[in-house]
Amino acid sequence: MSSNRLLRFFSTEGATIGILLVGVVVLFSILNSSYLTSENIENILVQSTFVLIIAIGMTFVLITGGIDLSVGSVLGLSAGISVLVLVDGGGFLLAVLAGLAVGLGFGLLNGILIAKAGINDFIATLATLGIAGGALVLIAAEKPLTGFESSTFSALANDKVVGIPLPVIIAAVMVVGLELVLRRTGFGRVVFAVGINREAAHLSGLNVDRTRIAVFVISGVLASVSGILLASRLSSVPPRLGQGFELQAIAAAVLAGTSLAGGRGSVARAALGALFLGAVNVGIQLEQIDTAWYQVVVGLSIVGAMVIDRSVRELALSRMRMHVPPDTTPAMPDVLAGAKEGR
Amino acid sequence: MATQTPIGAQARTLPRRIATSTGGGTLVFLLVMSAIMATQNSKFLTSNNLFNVLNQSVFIGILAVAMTIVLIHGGIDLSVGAVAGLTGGVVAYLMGHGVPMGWAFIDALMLGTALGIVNGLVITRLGVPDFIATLAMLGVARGLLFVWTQGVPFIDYATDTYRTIGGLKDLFWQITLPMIILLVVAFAAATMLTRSRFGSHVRATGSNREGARLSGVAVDKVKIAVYALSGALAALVGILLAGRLTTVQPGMGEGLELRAIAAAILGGAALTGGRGSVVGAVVGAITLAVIQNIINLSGLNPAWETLIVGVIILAAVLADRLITLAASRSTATTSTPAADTGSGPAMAGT
Repeated sequence: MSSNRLLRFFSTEGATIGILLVGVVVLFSILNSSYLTSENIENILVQSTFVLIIAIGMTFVLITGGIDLSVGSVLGLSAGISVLVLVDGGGFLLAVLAGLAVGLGFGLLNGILIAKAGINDFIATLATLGIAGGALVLIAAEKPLTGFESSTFSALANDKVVGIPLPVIIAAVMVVGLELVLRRTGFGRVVFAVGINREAAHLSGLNVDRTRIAVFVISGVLASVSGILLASRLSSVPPRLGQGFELQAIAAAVLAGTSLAGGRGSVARAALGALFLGAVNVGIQLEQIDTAWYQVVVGLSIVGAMVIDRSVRELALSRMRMHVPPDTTPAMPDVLAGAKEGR
Repeated sequence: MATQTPIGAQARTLPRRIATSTGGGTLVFLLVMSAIMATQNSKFLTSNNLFNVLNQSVFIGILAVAMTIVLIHGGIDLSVGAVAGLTGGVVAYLMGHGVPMGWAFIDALMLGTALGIVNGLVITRLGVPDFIATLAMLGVARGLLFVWTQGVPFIDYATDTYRTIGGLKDLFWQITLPMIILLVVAFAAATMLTRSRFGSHVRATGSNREGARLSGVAVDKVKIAVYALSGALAALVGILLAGRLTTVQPGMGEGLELRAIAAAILGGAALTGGRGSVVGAVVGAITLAVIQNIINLSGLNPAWETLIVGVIILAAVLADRLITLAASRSTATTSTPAADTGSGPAMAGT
């Protein structure tokens, strides 16, 4: 009986990543007493913010069954453009708008190439990854992207409101807002419908192309939000800023049970995935372990999380089958999605 | 399409057939780009420079051939760059500790193959998608090389023979050993794909996995073998790269996977599986090397390379789609009216 209840708990969406997160926090706080100080928790939260924000956008794209490899480069280019505007004497507002325009532009470009021109997501965003990444290096070679004086821009990622760092508040608002968009709005339902069965969504009269473009725009704009915050945090933009962020965002989403096959995912869980990555990263730094272990741990936990998630699902599915007459097997798209995954 | 060509007209339409064959558009682009560059810069069309470009393209070339096999079978291997780095590190370490070169190479090849088998097992036995499993392997292999080296590069292991193997010295004329290895690998891979039973299983799995399984192909075994092959070829690249660079930095091979995928795609491979060309992949790798060479010769910032390669990938894929659309439209008018392939649900995603 109790094993049944345990199984039900484990098969709740997000249980795996929640347990992983709690586990790693407990582990590091045993290893090091300064891990769970408010200062260090704040450090984890702020450090996680940048990957967290792009992981939200990635989640939208993944739910529709797509992938966006360009987010890291778009993040870097947006950061570079907003700092360029500041260095050239443009004001705070202009800098932020210019940064956001980069994300909007690349998101639209990705979406149109994929939904309208029919180019495979991986290839299209791999190409825009190269374009945005190359552009940032070229801009940085022309002009050092540092030394601006805008207290408003610096405040974005360094100020605190009622003791909470501003980027954490921004990220939290985004998580709640976009989770609501995903769960409670018609647009959110269309995003899931497109991911579960694109053909069926199309035949039921949903605008599949527009939805696919919209999720890439969301991903691009969130990448630029993250880039602007990171530029404000670092107060300079190195030429290779953002490289590899796309893989971290994918890792965060996948750790949180988002399916690469589409149709499954949640913004709040992706946030937990990003926090897990941040908690591991800060813990490794604090223990003064070689930071290269971070990559190893992330690689292993992705596979580990997937395997746990999958075996729990299959176990739950087989239990349910035992309790339900075979001819009335209920439709369980969410549970089945995990079982039939793979290319 | 080829079957519609009358026998007598074959010679006349040869250029056209090349242009519409898998990856042929890239070959045309490569030739046009080279011709333009030859008129702009007198250094470009010298045998020194051309052999230098070929010598540079070998690493991406071998990886692109391996990636093409993986893509044809319907998978993707993001771990090849990290595996090349780790296996190159193994060779450098062992040779630096007095192990004979041959043994060091065998160990590296075995490690690469083993890591490939692990990829295959994680995908088939644990049900993790190819993208995620090999992404995880990328992190693990790269991380291990960093942890192992503590960020300090391996140096002072290269012998004269090893330098020759790495392609720093010519064998004859201006031909280096890595060029010959690329040729052999490409020939073997093309023969394997088109002539062998295993090759037809690879192609069948990529075109229709379920169909292949139902017709008795052991799809899981094919997948494990494909990833083992990809790992072994990544190790081969690691061996050659360690000989070429004569130092192994912990970041060696970073980003090679994306260049290999780019070369394979330029060569006509599809990420949806079932389609790709080994010759096209080699042409794609040479195209990337020529672009890099042109940027070097013109004294441009190397960052132009990533930007230009991005644009070229888009152009190649768009051109490919236009050709396919035109072809399907022309067959549609003659045979079936059901050719509603426009944009939308019919397009396969990742």
